[in-house]
Amino acid sequence: MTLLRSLAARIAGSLLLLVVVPAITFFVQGIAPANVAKGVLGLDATDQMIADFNHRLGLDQPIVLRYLHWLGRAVTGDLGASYTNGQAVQLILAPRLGVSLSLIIGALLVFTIVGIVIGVLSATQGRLVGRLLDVVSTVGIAVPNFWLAVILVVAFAVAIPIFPATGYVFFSDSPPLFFLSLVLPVVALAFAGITAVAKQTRDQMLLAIQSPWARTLRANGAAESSIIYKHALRNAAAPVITVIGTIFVGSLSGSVVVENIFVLPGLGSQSLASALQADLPVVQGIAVYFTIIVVVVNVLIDIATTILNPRVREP
Amino acid sequence: MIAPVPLLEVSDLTVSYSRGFGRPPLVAVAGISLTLGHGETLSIVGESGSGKTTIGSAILGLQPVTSGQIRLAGTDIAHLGRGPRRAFRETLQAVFQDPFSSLDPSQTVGEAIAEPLRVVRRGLPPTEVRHRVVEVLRQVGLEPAALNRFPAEFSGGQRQRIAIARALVLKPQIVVCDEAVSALDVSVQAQVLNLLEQLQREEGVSYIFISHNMAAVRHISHRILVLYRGRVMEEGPAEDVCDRPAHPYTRSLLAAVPVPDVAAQRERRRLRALSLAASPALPATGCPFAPRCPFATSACIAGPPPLTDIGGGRRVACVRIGEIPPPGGQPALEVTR
Amino acid sequence: MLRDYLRRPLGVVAGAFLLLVVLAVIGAPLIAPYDQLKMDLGHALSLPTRAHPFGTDRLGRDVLSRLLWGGRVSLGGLAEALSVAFAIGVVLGLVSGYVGRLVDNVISRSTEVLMATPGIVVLLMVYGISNNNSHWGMVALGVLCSPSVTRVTRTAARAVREEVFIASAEVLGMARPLIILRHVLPNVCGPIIVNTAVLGAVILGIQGGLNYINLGVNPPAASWGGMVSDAQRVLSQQPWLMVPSGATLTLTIMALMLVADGLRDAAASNRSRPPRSRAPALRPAVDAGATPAEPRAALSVRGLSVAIGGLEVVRNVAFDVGDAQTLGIVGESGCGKTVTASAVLGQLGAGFVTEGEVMFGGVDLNHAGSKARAATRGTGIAYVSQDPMVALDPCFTVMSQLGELVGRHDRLRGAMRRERVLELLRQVGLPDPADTAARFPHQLSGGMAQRVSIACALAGRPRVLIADEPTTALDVTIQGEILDLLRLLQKETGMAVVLITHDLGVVADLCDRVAVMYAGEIVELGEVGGIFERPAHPYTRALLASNPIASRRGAPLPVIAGTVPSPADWPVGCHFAARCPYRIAACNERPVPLETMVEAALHQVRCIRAGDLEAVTGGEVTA
Repeated sequence: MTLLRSLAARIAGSLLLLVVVPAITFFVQGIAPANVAKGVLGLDATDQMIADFNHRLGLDQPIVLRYLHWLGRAVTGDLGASYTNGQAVQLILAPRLGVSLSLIIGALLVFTIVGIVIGVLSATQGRLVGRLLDVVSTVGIAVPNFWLAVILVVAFAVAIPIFPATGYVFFSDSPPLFFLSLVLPVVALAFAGITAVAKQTRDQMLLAIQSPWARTLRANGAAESSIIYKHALRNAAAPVITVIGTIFVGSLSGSVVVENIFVLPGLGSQSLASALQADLPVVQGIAVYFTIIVVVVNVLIDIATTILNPRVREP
Repeated sequence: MIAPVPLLEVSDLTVSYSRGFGRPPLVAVAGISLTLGHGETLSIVGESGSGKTTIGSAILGLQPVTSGQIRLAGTDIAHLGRGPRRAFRETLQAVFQDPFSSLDPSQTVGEAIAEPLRVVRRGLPPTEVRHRVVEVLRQVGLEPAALNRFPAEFSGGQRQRIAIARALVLKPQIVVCDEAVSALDVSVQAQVLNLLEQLQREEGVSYIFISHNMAAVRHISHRILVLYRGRVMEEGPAEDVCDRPAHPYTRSLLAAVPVPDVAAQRERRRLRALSLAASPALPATGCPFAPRCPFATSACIAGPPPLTDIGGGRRVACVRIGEIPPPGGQPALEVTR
Repeated sequence: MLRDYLRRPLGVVAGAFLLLVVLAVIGAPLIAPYDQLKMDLGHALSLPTRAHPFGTDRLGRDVLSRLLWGGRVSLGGLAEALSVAFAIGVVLGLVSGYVGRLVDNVISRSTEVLMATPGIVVLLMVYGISNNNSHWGMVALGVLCSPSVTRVTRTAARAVREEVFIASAEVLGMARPLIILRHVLPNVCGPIIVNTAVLGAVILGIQGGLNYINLGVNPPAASWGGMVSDAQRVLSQQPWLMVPSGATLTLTIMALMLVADGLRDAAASNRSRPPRSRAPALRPAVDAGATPAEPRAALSVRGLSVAIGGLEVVRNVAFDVGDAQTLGIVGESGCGKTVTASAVLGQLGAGFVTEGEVMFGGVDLNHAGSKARAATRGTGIAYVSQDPMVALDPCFTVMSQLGELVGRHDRLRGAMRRERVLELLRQVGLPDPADTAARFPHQLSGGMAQRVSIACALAGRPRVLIADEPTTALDVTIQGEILDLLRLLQKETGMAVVLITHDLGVVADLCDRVAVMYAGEIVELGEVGGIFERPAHPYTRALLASNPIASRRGAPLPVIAGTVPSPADWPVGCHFAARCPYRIAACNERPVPLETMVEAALHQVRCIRAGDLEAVTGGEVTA
């Protein structure tokens, strides 16, 4: 099967997610509409007030119908209106997307590049380095990102004031400050990912370096550097990229906490605020945004693995 | 040694696999027929892609059958579901190739051998179960002490013995041996072949011996079926097929088997040079071996050659069998000392 | 497996820590010195004292007690989420891994969708609509994390599905649920447990984060994540408070991961464990009549012994191969022939100790540096391995891999390199070199792949080719073609060939000389014709006799009683004595040297009775 055809098939599968996942989140929130009303109106809302509220917002209709209404509008870009202040969800979320993206993609770049470099080094530099990495890995993944964030702030924003402790600076306002304000949040978010990627990279590289084909190439005169940096790396790439994808989806969750700690005006911090207010249209809107991000990354990963691993191209 | 009423009769068996949208199905077995009598060993030989493993799987019910019949003691089992097939478990059992994968590593040897009894003859009291297990364990040459040990503690040859014990504990009439000795060293293989023969003498069990190992097949079979690309090329008594092969494929197959005799090998090399290199392309019609056959003519690709009787219980699927040189001067598989 | 696990100190420590934490948390009502809500404003924000081992928080509440009580919330939630994930994941994974393709597809797609769902949003929604109910939250978290368990279970179940004992159970007519329960589940436990431990670590981390932002907890009740949040609030006044809360979470998560690592290593070590030798390795005696290395030979090996972990697995191997000659090294599994080949190639891993000389081009490769070795690879000594389908890098085309070797040896680029690649492919008999060169390894048939492998070995125009079971994985008719190819190439290039095999027929076909190995030693060495007609060593005779080719139909095959001794059990004397029908007392007393037989100058045997047996049996091959 040609490269293009197998890519098209996989991309089509990923696009399906754009429809299915928001449906799931929509149905989850549809479980207990009564609580929504109470959340907005307060616990002492009367039954009549709740009924009015529900009717006004269409919450008393069957959920499938509500979903279809929502879907119909969402496809045109209208994600509904907030329950708390009636603002259009799109207007609330659009400005926040850039902030979250800068954090998430920054973290992605950091843990991918640093993780792979550390993993390759540890696979090629001998046993001592490998054991060291094992220890660091385990600690690195175990440290909770929120705790680490606080420590980072204390160390590098308070004690030694290099970076700002909180707040976000838009790139258009001041490029250098933009980067500075992102350093600590990105490190907090990426830290666990670095060690996970490094570990997987090292495991896959070692597997490749010790495989039968590597032995044969080596025995027939291929340069060791070629075996490591051309062949092993290529073979290790597909599984490592897959793990990167998984970690990335996990980092979306982490971004909620990190945005909170560093007071970044992104989607994550908004999602928390809205969830506590049971302002579900906004949360649903964030679900859509996050799903789009996940789908885009999944598609990129699919493209990368298909190009890198010829066997995947066959059905 | 063929009893008047065959124990197993396969008629016109076809097994094909679909390969997805728009692609023609892969025909693994095309219209094969065979019979098996009591206390007889029928070997099915061929290389990869010949369909020999598929036939074994189809007979055992592990592979769905596209068309044809498999008559076991008179009943057609080819299209039976799992439930109705259970009635035949005491008649038909199997031993497979990989001794390191054929026993559940989480079960002790005793449990593995007892399992058929527990599953098939549920009401049997535990003492009888144990008695029978020890009995069959001794038959395959292992000590009762093995009962409480795990397969990981045994060698490949010993595990095959355990697998044979498990197959025989129900006293089946037929055991399908699917490459049962192929993964074993030559000296261990000899032990297991001897064991299989001994058990056949003692219990009267019949074997369907599926293998690509011509030497083992020659030793243990009464009759041999030679397959190529899902069709029968030749069928007949073992000695005749091995020592005086008729079909060109059988000849090339036997010539390709290396024997530990330098002079004989030199002769075989000369014959190897005669047959053409294998080509993966399958002709649309006609004899599947034609692209490689040194004797092929246009008649060979006209239509699939029928299986013709050439006397002495032998059948050959070759339209030119009367014209090509008789199987006289071929180097037999026999090694003269 | 438990025993293996207990051997790893790190895993044991981590497991013990975990056990301690769990017990402490369960026993919180009994052992917590204070109630978690008891305030003592007079002693707020204090460092550790005897009264308060971990200090107090901003309301004077004892930190240790709050950790213990909070642990019930945290670990309790972990247990809830883990159970849900486990229950869903194992069931779906087993069904998906075992049942037919349709069900598998449905479950796999659903799992993929679940994995792509931004879990945090769902969790936020659940907390939002349930009024911050921690149980709902943990159940939701469990469902969201179940795909990881499903995938691992499915992969393990698929692997078990391919095992032959499952086919055996199906032949028995066992019902599918019974097969899954009795045969699949026990064999997938290992990876599932490892994954569950890792998942537990992940869930604890996520839950900590949720508690930190006050989801799933109702203050003032304690939780580990919540305590970090409390600590942060008073960071400037009492930084110490960050430590107990953060450390507890970190250490517990770490312990879970170390336990998972330990379990994974224990399961893996189950399969492969080199035997520990009981007796110290004997210094091998130099064979009487051993000649120094033959300078005219292409490859000359003397006194080659290989040991791993102090256990000798190959002893005192010596042979010569001349140019344009083929030497076969034949033996059954465990005889050491593959280790010998790897030692000659310098490919043994760490932990192997190789002694002896490997003389090539006047240099002892075994004692020369790695540079000298590297210089011979491909140009001096080349290698073809057994399974062609794994001998080629799956990610690169034939042209790319073969081209790389050509580029390295001949320093060719561009069109010249391409030409040479096609020339090599033609030389190994491929009918359409350009088409083959464009393919990836998985698009080649077995025979084609082996020819490509041979082409790779020829790229450097080697003087010696070492072929390790080059035809074993191929059909018998293809085997003949490859053997013919090797013979042709030898005639064309004059290279020496060392052929490792277990098949005596292959030896008769291709080899000029043969070395028969048994239990780490060469027991007979000489010209092929001579050895096959008049085998001198009892093992060689028995090997030839047990080949069914030579049998009389209907009579039992002659067998060698007993089994091959493993290196840990090698006796002092002749390794074959225990199974030899001709043994005498002297055979067991001391190591037997390889000696030249009187009649044929190049025929060597390791048997003190070789001369007598020749006279007694006249070389007849009988049992």
